[in-house]
Amino acid sequence: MSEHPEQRSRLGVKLFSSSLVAGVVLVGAVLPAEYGIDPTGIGA
Amino acid sequence: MAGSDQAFLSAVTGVQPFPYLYLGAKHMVTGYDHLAYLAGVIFFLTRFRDIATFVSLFALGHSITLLFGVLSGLHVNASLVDAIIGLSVCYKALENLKVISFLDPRAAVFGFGLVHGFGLSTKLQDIALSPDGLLANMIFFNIGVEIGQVLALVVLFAALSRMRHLRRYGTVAENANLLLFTAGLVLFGTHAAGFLMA
Repeated sequence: MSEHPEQRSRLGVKLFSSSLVAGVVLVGAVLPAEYGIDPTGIGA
Repeated sequence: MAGSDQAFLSAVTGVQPFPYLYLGAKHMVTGYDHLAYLAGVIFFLTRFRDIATFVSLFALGHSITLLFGVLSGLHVNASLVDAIIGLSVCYKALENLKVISFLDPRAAVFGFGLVHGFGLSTKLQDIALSPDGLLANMIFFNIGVEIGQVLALVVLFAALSRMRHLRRYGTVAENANLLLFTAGLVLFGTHAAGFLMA
């Protein structure tokens, strides 16, 4: 899929962004809903 | 496992072929962690032989630990197992994205099959299983899991085949695997938090 160095670094950026999305979902939705921990206070 | 299923299983004794077949299939078809992993495993497979090989290795792995886990009474922490199952989804996505390749994919699918099997066994151990007819019931549950897996694979394979006809399939495939990676991280984080909280 990504043989060239430039494409690989672009994939790295996408993987990093994906991890950030996962982090936001965890902190913003999973922790409040599953464990009653709401660091962002959105649920309050 | 849903409350009504759990109440039913706790109340019955003896060999119960149909209920356990049903529960095994239901667990597989509604267990999105297993589904996400399977989708990753067959993502780039087009030949029936390859799919059969990978799925059989996965089935062999989870059958071993499901039967061993329940029959030995070994209690593995459910959150810990589910967290590793989340990581298995990430691993497969990274393998599909050609980011990692230090293990033979067949060895990886067998190894993660072992982990998924502990996931299945802990779910069953959460309820009071009657020791009467335990072995037969476990085998029926296991067969149900495989039936559910075949049903899920038919749907997944049809969807993935349609995806291959899309223009810019390369981009679509990359984004789909990035999505799998994200989903795997969310599953991992959810259960890791559950493990730390317990």
